[in-house]
Amino acid sequence: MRIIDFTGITALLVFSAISYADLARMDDKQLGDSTAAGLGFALDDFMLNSDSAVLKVTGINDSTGTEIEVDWSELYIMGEGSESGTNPTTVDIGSYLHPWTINTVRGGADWDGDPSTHHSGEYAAIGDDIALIEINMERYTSAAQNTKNYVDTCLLSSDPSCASMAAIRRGGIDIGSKFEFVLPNGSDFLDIDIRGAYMDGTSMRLWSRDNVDGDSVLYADLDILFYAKEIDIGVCDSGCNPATSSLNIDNFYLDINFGYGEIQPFIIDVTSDGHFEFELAKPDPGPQGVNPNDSDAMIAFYDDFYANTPKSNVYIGNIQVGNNTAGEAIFRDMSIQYLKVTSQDLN
Amino acid sequence: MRYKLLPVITAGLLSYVTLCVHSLEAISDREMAEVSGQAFITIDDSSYNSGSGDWAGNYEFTKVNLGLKAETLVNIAEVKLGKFDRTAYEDGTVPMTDENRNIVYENGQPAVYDSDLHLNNFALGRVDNYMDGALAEFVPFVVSNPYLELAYKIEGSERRVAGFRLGFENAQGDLSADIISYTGFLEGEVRGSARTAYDKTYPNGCGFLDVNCYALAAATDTEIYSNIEPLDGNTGNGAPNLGVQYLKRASWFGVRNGNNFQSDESGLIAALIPALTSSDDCIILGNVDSCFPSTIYQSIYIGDKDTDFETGSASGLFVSIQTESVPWEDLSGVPGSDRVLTERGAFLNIARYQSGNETKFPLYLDLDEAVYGTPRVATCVGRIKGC
Repeated sequence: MRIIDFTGITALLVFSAISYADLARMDDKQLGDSTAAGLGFALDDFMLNSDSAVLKVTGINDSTGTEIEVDWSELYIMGEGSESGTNPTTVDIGSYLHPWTINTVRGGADWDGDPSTHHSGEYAAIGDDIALIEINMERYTSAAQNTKNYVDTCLLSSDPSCASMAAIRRGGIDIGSKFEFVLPNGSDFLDIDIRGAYMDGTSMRLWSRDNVDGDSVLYADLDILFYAKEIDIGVCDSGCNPATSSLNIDNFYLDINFGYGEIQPFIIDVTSDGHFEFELAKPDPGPQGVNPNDSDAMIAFYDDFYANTPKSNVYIGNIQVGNNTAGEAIFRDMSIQYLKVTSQDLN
Repeated sequence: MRYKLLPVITAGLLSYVTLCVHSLEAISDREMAEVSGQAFITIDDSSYNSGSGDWAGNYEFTKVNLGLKAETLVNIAEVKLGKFDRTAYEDGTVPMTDENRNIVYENGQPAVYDSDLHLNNFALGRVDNYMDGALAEFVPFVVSNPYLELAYKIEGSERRVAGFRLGFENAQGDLSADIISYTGFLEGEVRGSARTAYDKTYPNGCGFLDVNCYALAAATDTEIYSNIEPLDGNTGNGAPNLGVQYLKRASWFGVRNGNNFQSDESGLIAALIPALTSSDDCIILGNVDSCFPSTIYQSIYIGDKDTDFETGSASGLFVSIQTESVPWEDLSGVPGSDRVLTERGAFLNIARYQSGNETKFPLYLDLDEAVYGTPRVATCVGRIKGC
C-alpha cells in the first residue's frame, strides 16, 4: 500500500488585510498575537493522487450478518486536463486574492430599526447583535470567474458575452475515485470521474441564539454551489469500453440554498434515541417583529419572504450512455418553506 | 441480497452532528460498547432476465435504501426532465394539441412538447387557511425510506448503465402542478352514479325512441366507474390502443378509446352500462366529453387522505431516467405486479398501490371532477401558487 502523496501545498495566510506585497513567514509568537477577523488559505499547485492505495471500509454486513467490504481506491484531485487522473496536473484551490476563508462577522439586519437592512447587504436576515462564523470557498467578482454568473450566462441563457467569458475562465478541478463493493456473489464497481469542477460561492454560516426555552441553539445557513463540466460513472472493473458503457453527465449544476438567516434557519439536531434531524424551519416572523396573530401583517411577511429568499436551482445539460441520450433536466426556482428529515431504522 | 451499512459510520456521524449547545458529557467505553448502531443505509442488489422484447436480456440492479422520514412543503417554479427531441407517433409519443384537440404543427410537422415531464408550479404539501396569515397551517408531504437505484444492462463482457431512479417506500400528501406534458403512469379512477351521467348527457330528458337514454335513466343510482389515464388528445387513444407501455409527452387525460364505465351491481341495466358508455374519439354516450386537458387536474392527493401515514401512505411512487429500456421492480405491493417496463427518457410512476387487502388508485375523481378538474390546493400563504 502506498502513502497518499500531496504535492505543492504552499500557502496558508491570514487575510484580514490582503496585501499585494511579498509574503513573509510569521513566527509562532506573531501568529499568537494576531487577532485576525478571519483566516484564509489557498492551496497553490495542489495535486493529490492515492495511486494504488486502498482504503478498506469495514463494519458493513449483509442481511445474514456476513461482513462485506468496500474498497475505496484511486482517489485523485488534480487540475483540469488530468485525463481521469492519468496525467498529473496541478491545480490552485483558492488563491491569494480569492482564498477559502473562515471569518467571524456581525449580522447585517437591524431588526429594531431600518427594515431595508433585513434583506440587503452581505449578512442580511441575521441580526446585527449576532456574531456569526462564516466559512467561504473562493469568491469571485469577475463575471467570467464567478461560477454562478458564468452558469447563468452561458448555460441557463445564451448571452452573447458567453464566448469571451469562456475564453478567460480558469480551469476547474478534476476529482475521481473508485469503489469496489465486495459481495458474496461477486463485486460491484463504481468508478467516478468529475472533470472541471468548481465550488466558488459555496458558504456556510453558523450562529447561536437562545430559543424560547432559554437554551442556546446553533443555527446554520448553507449555500452549496457546485458545477462540473462533466461527470462519468463507470460500472465495470475492466473489459468495458467507457465510451459505450459509462454514464456521462454534461454540465451538472447545483445551487442549493438551505436557510435564510434567522427568518428561516437550518437546524441540525440529534434525537434522544440517537437519530439525526435536519430541519428547515417554518418561516419565523419573530425577528422582524411581526405579530403572528395579525393576518394582514403575516400575509405581508410571507410576501416579503417569497420575494427575498434565495431560491435553489438544479441543471443537468445532458445525460447519456453511448449514443443514447436522456436529455436535459431542470429544476428552476425551488423554494422550501418547510423541511424536516429524521433518520430511522431500516428493518 | 441485502447489505447494511451499520454501526461504525452511523454512530460517528450522529455524535458529530449534535449542534445544540447543551453541555455534553462523555460516555465511557463501556457505555459506548452498549450502543447498537442503526441500519440507516442498506444496499440491495438483484438481477432480472425474464423480460421479452425491448426488455429481454440480462439486467442487474443496485439499490441504496436510506432510513429516513421526511416531511416538506416545497414549491418549484419549473421542472423539466427528459428534454430531448422526440417525433410524434414514434414510441408512443403524442402530438401537441390545442384546446380543441387539434394538432399543432411546426414546420409542417406535428409539434411535440420538448420534455418528457414538464411540470410548472410544482409543489409538494399544502397550506390550509392560506388567506388567513395568522391561521395558515402547513400540511407537509411526507415520505419514508427513499431509495436510489441504478440499473445495468449486461451484454457479453459489457456492463453499462441503463438508468437510475429515485423512489419512496411510502408517500402521502398533496402533489400539485400545471401538468404541461406527462410521461409515465398516472392511474386514476372516476366514480359516480348513473343518474349523474344521465343528467349530464340528457339535460332535457330522453328523445323519442332513444333507447340508450331510457337505459341510462333506468340505471338511476347504479354506481359506475372507469379508469382514467394519459391520452393522445387528438384521437383519444391511450397506450393500449397504440401497443405501447405508456404514452410520451401526453397532455390529456381521460377514458381511452374502447374503454368504458363498469358497474359492480347486478341486473340487466347494470349489465348494459359498459355498452352504453364505451369511449370513442373522446366521446361517451354520444355527446359527453371523455378527454380533458391535463392542466385541469391541479392537485393530486397521493395516498389515502382520510387516514394517517402508517395506514394511508402509498407505495411504488418513483421518478426515473433511462438511457434505454429498463424493467424496474414494481414496489407497489399490488398482487401480481412484477415489473414496471420503462423506455428511454424520463418516467414518473404514480400508479395503483396496495393498502392492506385493497388496491387503491392515487387519484380518485367524481364525475364532476373528471369533467371540470380538481382545483389546486394552496401551496403558499396569501396565494394559491407561485411563491
